[in-house]
Amino acid sequence: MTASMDLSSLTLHDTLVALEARQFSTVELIRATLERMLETEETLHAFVDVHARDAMEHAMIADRRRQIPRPAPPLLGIPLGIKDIFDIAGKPTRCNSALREDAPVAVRDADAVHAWRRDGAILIGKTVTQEFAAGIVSAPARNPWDPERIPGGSSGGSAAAVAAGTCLGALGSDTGGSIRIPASVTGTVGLKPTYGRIGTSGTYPLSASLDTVGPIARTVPDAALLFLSLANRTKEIPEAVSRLQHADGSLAGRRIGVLTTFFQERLQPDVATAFDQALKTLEQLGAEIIECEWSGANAARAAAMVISRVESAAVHRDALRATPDLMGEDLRTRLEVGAILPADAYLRARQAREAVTRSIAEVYTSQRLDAIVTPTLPTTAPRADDLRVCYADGTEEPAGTALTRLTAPWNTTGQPVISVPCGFDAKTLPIGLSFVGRPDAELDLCALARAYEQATGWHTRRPTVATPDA
Amino acid sequence: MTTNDDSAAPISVKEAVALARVAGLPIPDERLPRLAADLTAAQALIADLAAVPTGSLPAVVDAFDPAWPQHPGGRRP
Repeated sequence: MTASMDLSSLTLHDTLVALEARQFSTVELIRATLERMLETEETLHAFVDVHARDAMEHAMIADRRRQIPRPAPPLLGIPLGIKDIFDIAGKPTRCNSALREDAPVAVRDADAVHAWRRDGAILIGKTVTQEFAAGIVSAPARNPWDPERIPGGSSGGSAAAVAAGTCLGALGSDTGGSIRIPASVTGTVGLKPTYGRIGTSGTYPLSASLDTVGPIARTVPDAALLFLSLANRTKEIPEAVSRLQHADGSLAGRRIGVLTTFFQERLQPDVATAFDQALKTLEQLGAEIIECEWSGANAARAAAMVISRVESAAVHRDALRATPDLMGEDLRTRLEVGAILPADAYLRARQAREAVTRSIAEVYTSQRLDAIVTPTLPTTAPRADDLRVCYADGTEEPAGTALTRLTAPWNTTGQPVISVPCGFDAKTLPIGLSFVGRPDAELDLCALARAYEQATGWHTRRPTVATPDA
Repeated sequence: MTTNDDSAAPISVKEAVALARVAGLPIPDERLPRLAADLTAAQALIADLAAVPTGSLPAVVDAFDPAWPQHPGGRRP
């Protein structure tokens, strides 16, 4: 590995600049990435399958392409991880399920995979997901900041790999928080785009009317680049990324809302402190912080839960009755509940979805908000062997409930959300801050989050992954 | 805050058996307590939905559109 190629700290943007300047070749980059996996994977288990030979072949092609004197594709030679619910042509999609142990290889790439491959990315491997993307543990993957803890889920392998430096970005999906939860607990950046804007063909569904595809990266500009590629907005990438990289960091004239109920309740003390400090930082950058009320948050969360349970039960209808023993206990129970819930509950949830979406739109409009900020999660990463979250008042909450409590409402409203690191707790575990935007305002949201990111520098901290020899 | 931990009457194992039978689900006896607990939690979610006034809204028949109305209170495009 060259001195300029410290994979634990390089960003995607840094790497593109270095490749363009011939500081190292794509072949060297991929070789270093694979070597980095040898150091970390025995501990982290972020990947279910590494495509080393394919990656090296594509690296050689990328190096030859870079010799051609015309602009390179925007992701040329960048190693990215793909959550194992997305089809990659010629590879099986196993979804971390015994039901798909003998899954045939995919015939074609998923929409999202196709987009990144079209823009020159190298698909370094499949990352671990929670079984069928339904949950927050992502076993056997572990958290690079503390391998005794979970990396969140369901895109836990993707986030762990990005945090550990075994890829420069990764693909995730978010139905109740599955991009933002792992981003928050691994100190990475997770972007859930507006619902329906990224194609889901070739993605194993969990709940079609909530499932949203998005990237996990190390910085906001990196996440924006990956998002624009996914959205087939490749032509916008050079200008958009340059604007984010070189922004002056001022938030003067920006109006940022803070919801005083629901999102401020039942937080671990270190999370509450980090959130308060984040608000002060945003004010120092020139933003006006506006306290707001939104009475629909709890119903928005409930609607996401009811819709996702019913729709996922429909996806797995036959397997639930014929081969339930091949399912994990959590997935099976979740699907059983979805199969039993009455149809009118599902229809009521969909009506409630319309109502709370209108009510949050009214909050933004009446207060002229550019965004709302919330803690991404009420907690840092739980231990893998103790999936509870404990609070200062002595109460506790199952980790699955706690980790989706503040994220799921935004799946119901379908708004874009970006989670960025905003500090650490007393155990040096990352804390996340979410910026929630108006529909289709992903780049504006990235501009706000980038200003915060630049002002604080939390994103530059990287975990020292414990290795078996350490 | 209403949560799924503190509202709605618990669903008994006996009720869970009946509901699973209607849905055509094979549930071994040892799994029934957990199913009953999770159904109780789901029932609380449904109760949370009831807090949203939906009476003036038409029945939802289309795919969800996250776009907001052009004007407050107006219809979506």
